[in-house]
This record gives sequence, C-alpha cells and structure tokens, in this order.
Amino acid sequence: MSNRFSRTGEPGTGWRPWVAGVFMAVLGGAAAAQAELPYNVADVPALGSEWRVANPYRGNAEVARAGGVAFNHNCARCHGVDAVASGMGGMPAPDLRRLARACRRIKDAALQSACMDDDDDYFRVTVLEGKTVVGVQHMPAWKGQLTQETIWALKTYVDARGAEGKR
Amino acid sequence: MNTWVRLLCASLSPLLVAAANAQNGAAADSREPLVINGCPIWPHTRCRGADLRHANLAGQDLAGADLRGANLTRADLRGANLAGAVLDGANLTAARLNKVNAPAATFKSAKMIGADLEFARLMRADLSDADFTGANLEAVRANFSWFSRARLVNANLQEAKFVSVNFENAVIEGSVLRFAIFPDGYFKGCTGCPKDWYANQSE
Repeated sequence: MSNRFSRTGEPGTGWRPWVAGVFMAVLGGAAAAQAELPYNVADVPALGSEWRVANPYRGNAEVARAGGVAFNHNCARCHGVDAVASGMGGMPAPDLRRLARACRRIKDAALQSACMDDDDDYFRVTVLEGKTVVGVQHMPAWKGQLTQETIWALKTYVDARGAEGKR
Repeated sequence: MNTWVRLLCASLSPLLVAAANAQNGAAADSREPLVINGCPIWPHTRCRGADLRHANLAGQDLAGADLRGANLTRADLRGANLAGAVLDGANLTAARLNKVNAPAATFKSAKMIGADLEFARLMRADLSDADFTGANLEAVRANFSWFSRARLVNANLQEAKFVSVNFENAVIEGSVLRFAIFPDGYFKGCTGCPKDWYANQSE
C-alpha cells in the first residue's frame, strides 16, 4: 500500500523524503548566508583608518551601486528594500531618501555643500553610535561592524536614491 | 449676467496668474536658508554653542540639529521642527516654543526658565535635569518622555498630557495642575507629584 510519503507504503522511505531533505539543507544554507551580517563593500576606493567628516564618494555612481548592495543587506530590514520606507507597507524606520531633502533645495552651491557636510556627519554619527532615546534603542550601533568605506557608500547610495525621486 | 461673469473672470485671471507667479518667485527665494551668527538653519545643522538669542526660527526645520549649549534666549521657535534635535545644556530662557514639534529631542539640563511651550509636542523627549521654573507647559504633549530631576516650579501645567512620563526625583512646586493628566507615570523620589494617579512607582 502506498501513501503520500512513499511508494512502498512505509513513511520515511523512497525519493520524496530525500528530496525534501536536500531542499531543506539548501534553504538552511541560504538562511545561514543571509544571517552573516554585516556586509561590507569591497570594491570601492580605500579611505584609510582616519574617519572622514564628509562623504568622500559624494556623487560617485559606481560607489552608489556598491552602497545599494550593502544597504539591502544591512539596512533594508528597517529602512526598506532599495531605501523605500514610506508609502504602502511602510517600514519601522525613517525613509532615508528624504535625509538630504533640505540640502537639495538650496541653490547656492557653497551653502548646499555645507548642508551636505552636516548631513554626512549626522549620518556617520548615527550609523556608528545608533539611536537610543529615553532608554529605548531605536537603532543599533554599527561601530566596529561596518567599515568607513561601507558607511560612506551607504550614504552615497541613499543620496542617489533621494535625488532620483527629488524628495 | 453670464456675460458679466465671463468678463469679470477674463479681467481678473491675468492678475491672479501674476500674483501666483510672484508668490512662486518669493517662495523659491525663501528656500535659501537662513544663517544666523554663523549657524545655518537647516536639518542636522551643527551649531554647538551658537548665539541664537532673539533669533526668529518660527517654522524652521531643525530636525536632528546639534544645538548643544546654544544660547536661544528669547528665540522664537514657534512651530519649529526639532524632531530628534539635541539641545542638551541649551539656554532657552523665555524662548517661544508654542506648538514646537520636538519628539525624541533631548533637552538634558536645558534652561527653560519662563519659556512658553504651550501645545508643544515632546513625545519621547529627554528633558532630564531641565529647569522649567515659571515656564508655560499648558496642553503640552509629553507622552513617554523623561522629566527626571527636572524642576517644574511655579509652572503652568494645565491640561498637560504626561502619559507614562518618568518624573523620578523631579520637583513640582507651586505649579498649576488643573486638568493635567499623569497616567502610568513613574514618580519615585518626586517632590510634589500628584498622588491620586495610578502610577508605576516603587518607593
């Protein structure tokens, strides 16, 4: 007599459990790989050990692409895939595409650059130290986990996304 | 009648378009930010210790600004956006903060003597050690905020919403508490906190 588990009628025998086992192993491996955070970019110019206070990659499209990959690995679970955190299915964390919104509106180039410098520093400090307000941790600290190159690549990506939609 | 209406519309529409264009032009110009005593007024600005006395910052966006130790005496921050801003140690004596939007902002050890915070939004803000002597906090919304060791002396707290607020070691003295609410407050070591609210306190 056969049942839905095996042709021979005995559970746990036949090809189906074997296939299911392989499938589960693959899924488990994929899950384990996903869980290997943090993800640091590898293909951007090195910046050395001294921390920059403004984004040295500002406007660099190649770095933005690398930053996008890092963003979806490290940040998307709270800030949304591809940095889309607002709208339908809003995410728990702010939409970072709006971060430099005020700066983008400034016409004077020098002022705009100074505004972006402030924005960059705010981003850097927030990523490194996290956000804890009145005893509640809203964002974890990434100090010691993300490299300087990765953090600036993330900022480059977020700014590029913001500029796309002119938010 | 219809002819007169059409004539009226035809004569008024150029004027309306001109007015709209003038307004747009003014709006475009007004997007250039203020810079006051070297402190640019934009989100995330870094202005520690800035001199912003009497500054007109009404409606300005200072979200995430670093204004630690800044002097904002008599500054006008009505309706300003201070969400996530850091004003630790700032001097806001007699400042106008009516309807200010300051959720998750920090005002630790800030001087708020005589400040006007009517209808201010202070949810999840940290106001520990701040001095609110003689301040107006009427109808302030301060849910989940911290007022630990704060001084609320001779203050107006009418209709204030202090839901789940931490008042540990705070001092409330000589203040008007009519219609203020304190549900789920933490009152350990507080002097003058109301006794008739259900509180999460351990003494």
